[in-house]
Amino acid sequence: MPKAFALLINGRQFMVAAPAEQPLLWALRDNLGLTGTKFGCGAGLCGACTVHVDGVAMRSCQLQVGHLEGKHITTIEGLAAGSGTGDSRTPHPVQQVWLELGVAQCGYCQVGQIMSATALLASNPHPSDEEIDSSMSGNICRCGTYNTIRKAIHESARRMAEGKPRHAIPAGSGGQR
Amino acid sequence: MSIARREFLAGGAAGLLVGVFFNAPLARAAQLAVPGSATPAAGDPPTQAWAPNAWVQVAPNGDIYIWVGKSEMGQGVRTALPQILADEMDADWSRVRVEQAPTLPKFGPMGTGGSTSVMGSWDPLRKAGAQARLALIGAAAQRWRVKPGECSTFNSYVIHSASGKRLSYGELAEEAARQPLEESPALKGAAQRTLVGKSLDRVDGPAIVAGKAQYGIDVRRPNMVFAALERWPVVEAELLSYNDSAARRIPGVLQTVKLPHAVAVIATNTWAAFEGQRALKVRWNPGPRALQSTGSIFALMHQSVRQPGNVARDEGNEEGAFQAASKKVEAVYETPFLAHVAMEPMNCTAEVSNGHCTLWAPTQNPTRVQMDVAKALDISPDKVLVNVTLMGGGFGRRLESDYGVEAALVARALGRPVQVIWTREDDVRHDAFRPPTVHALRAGIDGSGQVVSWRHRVSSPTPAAQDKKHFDARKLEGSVVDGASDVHYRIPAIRIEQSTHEDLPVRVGWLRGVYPNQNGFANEVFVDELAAAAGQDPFEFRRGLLAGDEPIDTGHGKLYPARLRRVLELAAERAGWGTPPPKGRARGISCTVLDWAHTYVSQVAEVSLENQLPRVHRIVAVIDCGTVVNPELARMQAESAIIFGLSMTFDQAVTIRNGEPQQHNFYDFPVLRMPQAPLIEIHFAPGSDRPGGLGEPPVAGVSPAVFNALFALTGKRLRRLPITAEDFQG
Ligand code: FES
Ligand code: FES
Repeated sequence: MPKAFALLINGRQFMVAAPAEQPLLWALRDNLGLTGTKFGCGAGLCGACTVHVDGVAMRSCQLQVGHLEGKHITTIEGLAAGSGTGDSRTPHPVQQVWLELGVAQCGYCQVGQIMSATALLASNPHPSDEEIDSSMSGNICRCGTYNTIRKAIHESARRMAEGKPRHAIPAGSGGQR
Repeated sequence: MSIARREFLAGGAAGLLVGVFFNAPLARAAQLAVPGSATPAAGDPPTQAWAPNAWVQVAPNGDIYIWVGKSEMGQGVRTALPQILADEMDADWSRVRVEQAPTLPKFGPMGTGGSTSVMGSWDPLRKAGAQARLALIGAAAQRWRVKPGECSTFNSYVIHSASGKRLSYGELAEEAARQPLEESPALKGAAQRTLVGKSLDRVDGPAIVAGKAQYGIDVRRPNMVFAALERWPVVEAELLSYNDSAARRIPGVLQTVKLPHAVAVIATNTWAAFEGQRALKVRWNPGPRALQSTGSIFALMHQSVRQPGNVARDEGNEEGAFQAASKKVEAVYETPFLAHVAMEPMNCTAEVSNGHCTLWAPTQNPTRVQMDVAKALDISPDKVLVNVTLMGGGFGRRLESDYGVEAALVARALGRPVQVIWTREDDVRHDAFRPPTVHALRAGIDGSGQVVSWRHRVSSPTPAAQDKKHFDARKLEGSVVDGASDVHYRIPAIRIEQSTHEDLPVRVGWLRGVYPNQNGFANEVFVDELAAAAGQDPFEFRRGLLAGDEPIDTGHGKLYPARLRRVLELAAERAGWGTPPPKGRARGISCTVLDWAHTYVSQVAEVSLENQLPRVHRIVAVIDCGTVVNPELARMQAESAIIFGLSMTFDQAVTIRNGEPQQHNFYDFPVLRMPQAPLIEIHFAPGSDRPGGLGEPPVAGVSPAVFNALFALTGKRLRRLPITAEDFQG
């Protein structure tokens, strides 16, 4: 029988009984019912499954549950609440901007885009177009919302700088892959 | 009419019924709760809600439920269609609850494709809204004992201005149910519309950014298991035997199930199912189709365009005019097999019990899934219910029914709910690919630079050829010449011919934009070649070919060159055509019509070469798709279509060896990423009140605009899609 791993997700601890090499993506979706994180390629190529691990954007399809004990994992379900504090019904400023600018088309990639964008802004509060492009290049949007995403990241940066953000933003670099 | 067109129109106006009373709906879904959601939605309409027709219900509390019979895949139908109905009804938009229609008879046949959602629903939904509004007025007038003509409506109220009385729609719902319904209600004119033309927010927006939107892959049913399938490597390969002992040793794997064309691994979670699939050992007899490869398939197409084909259009004396022309231009173009790679891999959830099958399907084609599942299970279609979930993209792939049929077969074998989920590799390998084409064009130009003849021969293994019962290769197959026979230029002698081949080793299907993408690519690069041969500016040359306001009769519809001329001129103006481009860059232009979508598009691409690699910096598109229901959604759709067109311009191709597709995932079937996304400027120039289609029309003109720009930049004429790194090296 598989061992159980203690995973710290969105500020809460969950016991996940799974083989050590099972990707985090499937632990989230199938073991824990956190289906906000999406499956797109299973190979680290599309970014649909992006979550934060200790504040860094990572591809959950490439992370094994056996290696994650003791790490702080944030999924889209926990993003609104920052790092476990605050009112979870108030969206993260990036989610708010995403909504106002109507970024999503089918929306399937957008959770991953938002997770990558929030990690980028946490490490680089005023990214240039080039920095956005290189930081977001691991996130595919088959619906082609790239230009609106770029706009939304700039707008989020502006708004988050305008005063202290209402929520703690996960620390860490906006590193990809 | 081609198969493509028939199929796409299946979900159009013909399927909509109005003027019938119905009982309370069985469907569950509410605004922001999501179609196909496993939990009952809080917004279920109360049973006493009044339903003047299948598409709208008014509850006594004033909530207005609007049913959407089209599938949401990002194009915004769950917003735009209710917007049309609510406008005509003068409903308070903040009280509108959007519901997703499942396959119940009252909704008629349902399918989403061919850019028809808005244009096909425009009349029926306006009528449905107007009927409801008139009945509400009738009820108020009766209560007040005044003439209906003295009443008006505004924001869910009926108002009698002479007396200052007003009643809300909710208060009137019960009495409205006793009012007769107007068979042909008068409809609003453009000036009276309050919601149409506004950029209302997507109703699914909040759920999407919160990660709560439920796609097919997110459906969860009590006692549900997951399945991954190892399918035949080549169409019609024979399953000889399989060994599942390694698969069954994987923790979480429960059992395997044999299907006619696949072996299913059943597991308690997705990953175990995937691992089980990988551990399966299946022996196949690949059969005769495995002898084919991309090379042999293209060789057949090239051979075909060297000979006469089935004639789709024949006007004037093409042969004579060509032979007499002072300049003769000939060129051959190629386009490849393509995969759809919707962001959400194929999947479907099914449950079979007591002879009934219920599906939760991310599908563009609920009715086809219903019919094909019924056939596969040998039950009648009314025993199959398809709930339509949100979709992570469709692009035509989800017009097929394979994912539904498989899920139903596995669910029946198991006797418990199952979600069949495809790996990305399965999704690519077992796609119904966009078929390849070869085009041979020739044209004659006279001494004054006029085009006097045009011949286009196109060969392609059309999806229609897979319907063995109805297909006859010696007869004209309209789908293949879609966009070729309706070439949008005024030329005195035109001949269009078509040929096709059968029995491919892979399935082929429809992809966003269908054959007008390939034919439009060939037309618009060829016209550029003609302009160069005639020594004329490509923009002015096209303009000349679009002279006159008389519509062009293509044999199955009318095209309006004046509308195309207008978008062409506007695109040129906005892109600065005729002014020098930034250093190191060049511009190319295209103009295309999707005749069945009644939409006219012109695009200008600005390109450069960086380290011998082409780069697109800017695309300006001017679009006449008639009245725009929701400008912001429309702009996003147009941008989406252009990015889609760019993806297929660069690097995308599926190749086949020994009958098997050679691509697997995004590393060998790439899609455009953010750093490659150019600046895109969209401008709408409505040329009619009636809305046209938009999801597909801008796709076709992207590749030719880029090809033509690269010619302007380098003098090198490319004629094959996609552009690859080798094209500009050495
Ligand atoms: S699913 Fe993880 S990167 Fe694509
Ligand atoms: S919005 Fe559809 S894939 Fe990005």
